[in-house]
Amino acid sequence: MFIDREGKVRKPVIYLADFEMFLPTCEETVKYWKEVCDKYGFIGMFPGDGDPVEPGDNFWQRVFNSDYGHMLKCDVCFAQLDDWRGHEPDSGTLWELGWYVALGYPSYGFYGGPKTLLERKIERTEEDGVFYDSEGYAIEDKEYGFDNMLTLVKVADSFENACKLARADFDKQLIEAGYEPYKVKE
Amino acid sequence: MKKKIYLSGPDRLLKNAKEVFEQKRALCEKYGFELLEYPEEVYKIKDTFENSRAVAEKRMELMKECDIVIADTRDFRSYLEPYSEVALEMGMAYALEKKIYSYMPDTRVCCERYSGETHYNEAMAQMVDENDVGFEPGPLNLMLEFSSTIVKGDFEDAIKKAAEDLQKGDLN
Repeated sequence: MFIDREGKVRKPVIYLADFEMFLPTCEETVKYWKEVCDKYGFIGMFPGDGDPVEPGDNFWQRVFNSDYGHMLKCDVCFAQLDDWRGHEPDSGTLWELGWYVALGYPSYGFYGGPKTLLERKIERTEEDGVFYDSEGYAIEDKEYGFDNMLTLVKVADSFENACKLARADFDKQLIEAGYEPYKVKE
Repeated sequence: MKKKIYLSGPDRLLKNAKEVFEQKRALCEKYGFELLEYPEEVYKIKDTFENSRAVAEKRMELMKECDIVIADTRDFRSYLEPYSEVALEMGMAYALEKKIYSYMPDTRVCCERYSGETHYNEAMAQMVDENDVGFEPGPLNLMLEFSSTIVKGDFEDAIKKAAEDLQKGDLN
């Protein structure tokens, strides 16, 4: 349960922004995420849910439209921020996360990697106390696992802990408005 | 009035970041645009989390002010993936209904840009790498590709394209 933008108390629909669709383990991971969502009073929505996009003209544009259509139906974003093809999260996941952040929707990340950027195993050289990667870009040292703009997002160290973070935020709003907090399922 | 541009890219992390910014500002002027100035703190490499977040909030406000976002979508600390801030900012820009241009030197589709082995995985119905990890169908992730005009080349090529679109009335 949470209080939506119209002041109604209901289960929030969570957009699962992730890179699982590129992996053979997609189905089981998404199933697990949805079960955890249910435990905390959320409805998980995966971009691939619903009828598959029909093959044909402008197929990929229609896939974009379908994904975007799913985003429009959600209240909250949970983004998988683990490294993808290197030392950065998946760009599609970040695009979706940025969309929610800009529009003021509650947005959370989950990430199991090092706590700070400096702790990542990025090849580096040091100059005057600053570390630079092999292309000459400084590695930020700001008590955080990601670069500056991602500080706009609350990040937990696992999917379930992201659910807990969101649950605590929503319960706080419920209590302030005179409602009972949600009772997490055992 | 000149259209305002927000610069999305990792330049601020370079040793000569301010010099590079001035070069890009000059290019914007040359093609009739105004490049929005980052807050000074954006160049700080070491800081507290709280200060960093305050800077990010200022940058988001700056993006709201712009008409166009020019995004550097070259690979960054990875293969086939741009800088994390760029991807995040492109999503923000799309939500804020900004026109987005992304530029990269090689606009071949991801599968062709990949330096390792590739094959088609029938069960996944997509091209995959040696570890059965799939590829995006285009040069960038789908969300970035279909929310932006992709320009092959560098920052000046992107600005030039924006200027052409403005002249044609596509940016009004």
